[in-house]
Amino acid sequence: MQYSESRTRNLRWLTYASIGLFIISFWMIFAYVGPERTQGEVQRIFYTHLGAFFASFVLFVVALIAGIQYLRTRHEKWDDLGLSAIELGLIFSLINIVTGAIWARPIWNTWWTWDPRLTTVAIMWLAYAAYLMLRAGIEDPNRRRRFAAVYSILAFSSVFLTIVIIRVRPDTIHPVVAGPTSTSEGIEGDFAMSDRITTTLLFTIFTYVVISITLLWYRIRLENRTKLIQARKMKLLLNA
Amino acid sequence: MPDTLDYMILGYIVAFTLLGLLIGSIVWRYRSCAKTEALLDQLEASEQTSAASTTSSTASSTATNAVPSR
Repeated sequence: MQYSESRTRNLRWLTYASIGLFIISFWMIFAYVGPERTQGEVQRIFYTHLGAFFASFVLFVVALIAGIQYLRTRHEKWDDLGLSAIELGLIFSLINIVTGAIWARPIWNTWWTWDPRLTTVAIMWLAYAAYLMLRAGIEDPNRRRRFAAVYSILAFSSVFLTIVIIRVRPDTIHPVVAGPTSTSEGIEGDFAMSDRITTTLLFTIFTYVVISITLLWYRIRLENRTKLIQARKMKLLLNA
Repeated sequence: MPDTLDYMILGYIVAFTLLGLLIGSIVWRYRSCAKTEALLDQLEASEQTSAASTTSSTASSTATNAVPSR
């Protein structure tokens, strides 16, 4: 598949921007902002933890939109977009879960607890992991795409639940960084956000979102290339 | 301030390893595609060559048959 010069140039610039942003955010996390008073150095995980969560959130929203668009237009490109977004979203979500567990060990004194937030994020991850497995099990391409679109729309309810749960359940111990919360009692690991922490946090979130969009672009191109190879293979086999 | 440096290092090692694996898998698949494309180019070229030689040999045999015998 031939892409236009301008699109390839844009992707190249986005790649440079991602690398640049990543280096700056790395400097901000380890040099610009100091260690937090009550948690110490481990609090620096928080930037990547949240950045990865926002990246996965953006990717799952993309998958939701792709699912809706596929059902509306039945155009294959939306299915490719949905698949690519979910595949990347799963990895960013995994980074979010693992870094959260490592942060929790010294702060909560446990790697994992069945807190409402942690439970919903685990459900969310499993729901999207099941998407890939179930999708691979359907042979008919049209049925597979239709199923994937419907599933990606339904699976988004787990993302919504993950975001909402800490704002409505009073028994969570997970800190709420942005927006209202039902209670501040019982929250363990919360800390005051200084200006530098806020700046670094917002910058890291922005960086992770840009990285996720760049990788999504590459992943879509890979999907197109793979499909083109499959078509060429079929043509050769038919001619043989 | 508690000493939690080890956990921070572990967290970043795991996060960057996962990110590296993701980027690495995309790069690996791109390279694998490039190799397959090169192979397909070769196969298509050899198929075109054999098709062309078949056509030319058929054409020449037809031409030979068309020459009146003396």
